[in-house]
Amino acid sequence: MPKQRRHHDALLALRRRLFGYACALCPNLPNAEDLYQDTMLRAMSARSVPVDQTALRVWVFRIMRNLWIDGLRAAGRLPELTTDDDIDLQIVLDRPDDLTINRLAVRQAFMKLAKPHRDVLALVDIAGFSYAEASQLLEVPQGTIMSRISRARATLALSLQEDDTLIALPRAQGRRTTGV
Amino acid sequence: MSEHRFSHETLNAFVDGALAPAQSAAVIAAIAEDPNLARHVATLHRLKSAVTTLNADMHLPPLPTPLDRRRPVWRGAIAAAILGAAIGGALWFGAQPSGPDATPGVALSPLATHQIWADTANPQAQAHLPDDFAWLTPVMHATGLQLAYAGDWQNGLHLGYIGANACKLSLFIQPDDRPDTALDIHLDQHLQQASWTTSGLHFSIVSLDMDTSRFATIATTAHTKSRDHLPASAAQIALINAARLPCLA
Repeated sequence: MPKQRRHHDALLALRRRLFGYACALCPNLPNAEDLYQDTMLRAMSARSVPVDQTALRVWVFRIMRNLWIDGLRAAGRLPELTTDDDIDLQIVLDRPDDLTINRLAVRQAFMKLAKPHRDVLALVDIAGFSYAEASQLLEVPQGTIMSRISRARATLALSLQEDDTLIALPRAQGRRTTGV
Repeated sequence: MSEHRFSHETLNAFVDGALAPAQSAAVIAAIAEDPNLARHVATLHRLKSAVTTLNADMHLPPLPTPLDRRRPVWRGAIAAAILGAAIGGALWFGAQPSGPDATPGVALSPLATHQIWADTANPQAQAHLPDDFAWLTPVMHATGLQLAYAGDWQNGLHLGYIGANACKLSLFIQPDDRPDTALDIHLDQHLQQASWTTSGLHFSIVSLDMDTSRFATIATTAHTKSRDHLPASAAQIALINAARLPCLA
């Protein structure tokens, strides 16, 4: 199989996950489409690409992430990338059974997450990266990935609990016993 | 309040399949004894599942083309990429595309054709299998996948199958005068491909994000049946049935 065709096939196999990652990073669909298309363009026209499939996945998602960061930098919004909210995980997840999870609510709650949280959740849940691969891509220790995933899901749960207009089930009694 | 001994990080890692087997076993044992912990983990599973399928209904935007006027700076690079794909495809297949499956002027690979079909496939659609390939019917019926598309492709046939759980599988059949070949199968977590040649026909099966055991079972059974054309045995049908699992995307 010609090398270039193999490369393009590998990229095509990642299309949906790449677009899912773009949707997770960008605030609206047009931006996500632009980010996706710019990434595909760069990846398809690259002269040197990793042969190993795992390395190729990390490589192409890194292209997308770098383009996204470049965009944030150009818009003067890069500092948001390093913001890491501090929340009480135990309080948020103590009474998880009253969560109603529907796609619209989750989409809105997801987009409210801090960028580092959206980034890491998208890499693991949408792009399907393992913690080790996400760690390699983000160039942070695996413990940081674990911590960010944990906080991201806790924040997502909190956001779903708090949004009266989107959560259909009655709120559980005594859920906010210590006030969040 | 749950009194379990696991940190939130550990429970999330459990849900993500990132724990070592011994740690996972410890969490599973604790879940069995602690309903609060079980609910906690169930919520994490639901959150993960919700995020995983967040963009499942989004239509993929088209790949960049030379006519894309939004990025005139990239036109040269885009044209080169598309031309490269076209040349690569033509060299590979040595034939011009035909039928509704093909992009005019570009000989698409089975994977690219599958991607384009899968992105726009109608789950409610039904198609009819040509009589020559009736031997496929019991095999594919056992997979739970329905024939949703049958069209021309590279002087041959493209059959598109859709399952109830987001699975899509394409089978390509082309005339091929070369000698018979053994089953060549490639299994990756995200991409599964199989191909073989028998009795003057070349078969290619492509799927994305299908459980690899399920794909291998389908491919090996289809390979066998394409050679002997005998009805699938009860054991073969049972194997295919037992291998049914939802697809990731």
